[in-house]
Amino acid sequence: MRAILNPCLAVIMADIRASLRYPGDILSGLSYFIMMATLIPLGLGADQGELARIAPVMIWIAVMLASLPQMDRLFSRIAKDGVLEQMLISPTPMTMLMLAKIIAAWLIIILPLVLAAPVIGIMFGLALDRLAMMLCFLAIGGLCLVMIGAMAAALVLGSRQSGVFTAIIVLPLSMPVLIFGVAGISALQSGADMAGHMMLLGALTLILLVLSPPVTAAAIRFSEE
Amino acid sequence: MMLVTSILTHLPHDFWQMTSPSIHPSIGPSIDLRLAINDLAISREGGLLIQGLNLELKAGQVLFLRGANGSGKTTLLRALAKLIPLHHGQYAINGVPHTADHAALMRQLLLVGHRNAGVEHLNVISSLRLMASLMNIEASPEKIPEKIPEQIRKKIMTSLDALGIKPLAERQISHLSAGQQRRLALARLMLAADMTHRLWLIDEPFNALDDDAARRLCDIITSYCSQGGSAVISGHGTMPLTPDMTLTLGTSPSGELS
Repeated sequence: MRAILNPCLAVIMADIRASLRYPGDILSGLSYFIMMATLIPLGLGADQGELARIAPVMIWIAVMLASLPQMDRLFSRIAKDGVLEQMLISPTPMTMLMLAKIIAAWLIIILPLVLAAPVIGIMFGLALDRLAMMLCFLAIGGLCLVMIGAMAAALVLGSRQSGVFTAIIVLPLSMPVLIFGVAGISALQSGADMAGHMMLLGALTLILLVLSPPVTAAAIRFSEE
Repeated sequence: MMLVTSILTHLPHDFWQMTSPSIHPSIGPSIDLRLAINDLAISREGGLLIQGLNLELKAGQVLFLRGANGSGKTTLLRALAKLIPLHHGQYAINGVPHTADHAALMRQLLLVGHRNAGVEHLNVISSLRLMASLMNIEASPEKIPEKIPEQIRKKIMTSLDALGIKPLAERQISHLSAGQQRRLALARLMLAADMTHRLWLIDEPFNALDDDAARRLCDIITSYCSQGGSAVISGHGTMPLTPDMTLTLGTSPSGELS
């Protein structure tokens, strides 16, 4: 078990350490997120009712757009450096290493956005009494987005216009996340029951948790041949 | 649809084996036979690049893989690390056949490829630490993954010292020169220098190295082989090291063994 766990932890720690040393990626995603959230109220005017109505959609779209460019770069650098090659010839299963990579990406890309979300919630006049649930939605939905992004990034690895292809692959796959996520946060706002949306989002996460790491690993092995 | 089928056929070998990999005993009937290749063929871009290759490398021997650019040196090395599928034939490292469990085979080899596998945004120690973990070279149980266990740190330092880049230990990988990065890649060999059963697959190690580094590398390989380790080293022209065997690729379809 240790032969699997230790390398996975090492992969996560290496990613976190690298992103803390060069926080540019985290900050660019975060600034994108905040920029969207400040510009839209400015453009729409200060109708609080209107803003609160579109707030759930805005937050989700902001999370998606802020994280997409970073997903695209998930593997390109380590593929060029040959680190991926070393991962492939590690005795530790590539599937598990990819799971570690996904967890690291969630911590680096999604977690800062989730932590920034309450600030934006206030700007949009969201009721903050059920804030914890909203953050839960974002965190779980964010994990889905990372897993979809990882698959897409691995599939387009080595192609020149990878950014375009990633967007094309990610867009349809992330629709359910958007639908259940928005419905869930809207339900939270109106005080309706949101358990169903949460369960569907959770089910989606579990499916992707089984599907995404092996598909990512297989796509990378294919691209390294 | 074609993409789906190709993905399915390329699922990792470990896809159905998520349990802890069993450590294959390195002591077997063919303990002194490090590498055995039998009628190997590898196809690239539709044509056969290497075919009918037979080879036996014993413990303590060095094989020099010589050939012009594009003659298949890298392809052969990567195929031996299972990164490229075989067209035909089989091979075994320490008696572990290439069809064996992924982890069991990977524990028998060590590949230093063209790319140096340094993590751009990390410093030299952290990057080697990740490589040591991926190679499953681990110290006794560690509690805090953030801290590098003393045992591993010592190993990393010895490796860096052997390649003459110890003063660069805290340096960012992206600030290293090409030669220094190459030395760092070769330091990976030293990390596993005490595991003499691992077959070293080194792709053009003498490129980008200065005389000092080349000499150090020769010393490392010589001492590894004197302890019973074996290495396959690719390159063109001559090698500063006297190999036990030379395989010239590209002259005839199957290569010439001398």
